[in-house]
Amino acid sequence: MHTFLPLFLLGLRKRSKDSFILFYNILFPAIIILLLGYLTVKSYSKEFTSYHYYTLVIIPFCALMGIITVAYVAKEDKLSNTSCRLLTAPISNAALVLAKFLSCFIVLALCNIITLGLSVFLYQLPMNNSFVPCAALLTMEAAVVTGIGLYLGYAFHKMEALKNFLNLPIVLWGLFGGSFFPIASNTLTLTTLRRFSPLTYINRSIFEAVYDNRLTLLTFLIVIFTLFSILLLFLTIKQFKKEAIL
Amino acid sequence: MKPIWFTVLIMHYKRNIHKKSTFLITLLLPVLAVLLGAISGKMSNPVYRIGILESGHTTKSNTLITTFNSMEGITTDIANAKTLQTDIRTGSFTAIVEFQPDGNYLIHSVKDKEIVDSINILIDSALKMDTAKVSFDSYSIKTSPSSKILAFMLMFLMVTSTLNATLFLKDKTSGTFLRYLYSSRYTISYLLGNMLYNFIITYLQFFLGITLARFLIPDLGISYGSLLLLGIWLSGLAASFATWIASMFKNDMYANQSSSGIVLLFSLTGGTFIPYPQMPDLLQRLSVISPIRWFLETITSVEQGNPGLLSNNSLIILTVFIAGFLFLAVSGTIYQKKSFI
Repeated sequence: MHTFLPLFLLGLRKRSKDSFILFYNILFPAIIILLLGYLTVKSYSKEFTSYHYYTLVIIPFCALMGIITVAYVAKEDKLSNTSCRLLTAPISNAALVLAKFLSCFIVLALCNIITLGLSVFLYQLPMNNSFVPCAALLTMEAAVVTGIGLYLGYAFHKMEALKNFLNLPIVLWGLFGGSFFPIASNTLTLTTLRRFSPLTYINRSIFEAVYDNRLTLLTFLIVIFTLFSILLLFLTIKQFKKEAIL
Repeated sequence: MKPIWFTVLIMHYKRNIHKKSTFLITLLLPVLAVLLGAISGKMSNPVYRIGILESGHTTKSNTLITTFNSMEGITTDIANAKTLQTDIRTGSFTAIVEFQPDGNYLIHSVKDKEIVDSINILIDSALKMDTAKVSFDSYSIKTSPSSKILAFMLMFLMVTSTLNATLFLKDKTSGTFLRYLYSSRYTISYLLGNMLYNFIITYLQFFLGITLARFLIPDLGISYGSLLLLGIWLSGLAASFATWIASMFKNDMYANQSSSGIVLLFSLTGGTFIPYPQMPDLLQRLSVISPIRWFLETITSVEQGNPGLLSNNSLIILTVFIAGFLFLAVSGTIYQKKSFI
């Protein structure tokens, strides 16, 4: 515990000052929502504006883009020349990984909730009872994103080149999940492709929660995300070798 | 003596060729872009998807289903009342028709009035069984398959060429680049070598992608020769953009994330997802800054059979963009060099 706490607090301080994380998780989604909303304002009605649609789909999409940010956060010790110290210090693997995980997770989740809150306020989204469930879903999405990112950064070092290409599948998932425009899946190929995109389910669960007051899919996703992030955290701790941060 | 830019070009190539996995992924990516462009071309075809709530008046809903499903550009399916609000918002259905006990029907939709009205007319005439009158004009302007594919390809290649430019970042962190700067050579020769290396890789990717597209899609709208010629500008733009991004940052995460962010913004304003003529006025003016818009405009003019490719205005603007990115990279690097002293 005495090694975990300083690492965790340091990580938290570093993350919350990282202008890049703040930009990509608060300002960037706001810009995209504004831009896409303005682009398509004509094809929506007054009760349900394009800004409403894009608020609900862009925030989960941008949250997913955080995977790469986290994957690089795993390498920050190398960049700040502290990796040799960590290697020789008497810190257990669990404390090291857990401190990184928690600090990233808290900051990313807060960013998501802030963006959601701001957009709801700005565009007058009718989210009466569904704000808390949606915020919970985004929080758990941040946990999964942090889990995947850390796993890639710490345990997956053989395929280091892979993480550079991660942006592309995420953009593809966004496209098929309806993050850029609503998709009517009337052909078989499209329906199949949509099934492979996690954003399809995330977006649908949020819409069901906000407009139909149905929380079944959302609860299901939250449970899945929680289990998955715990599994990832466990795997990362198990497969983590300190040499990887050199 | 060999010029510096040529040495840089050869060395970059030698350094990357033995990383087989990276090299393979790099070459296979355009395939993905082509497939994506082809699929998204299908997606943007005007299609109305009408949902019908099961309750009551089965005869009427049955006529509606049979008439609509026999028509082109419109499909019907049974909708679920519990997820009605979600279905019309996520685009699962353009509109959902609910038949009431008194025989009238109600349309649920969040689309603008024009679309709802046209759906209303469609349903009315379908219920009267006079399908002859049923017609609807597409409300979106069709874009040709080649411009869709090229737009997606440009988007992808701009992102991936930043990955190729990471060698430049490696040179920066290892101090090799600093040596170049303090040698008596000009800064531009290193950057030019870096850009040329990037250009060759990107053009190779483009070539693979477009050759695949030629076999997959019979009618591309543009001849293979002009496509290959256009590829020079496409790769040039991607390469000079990547060099500019790489010259700004020391950390490859910053470079990668910023390039995907900037490219996404360029694509949104340039018309990759929504055609340029459909944009609101303000964005049309804003899209002047997006090189993707000028590229798409070039493609349109080539498609319309404009013979003089080189006398094309948008192509000249595109060339200015390429030179501009390179200039920004050089001036940025010189500024950084001065900050060392």
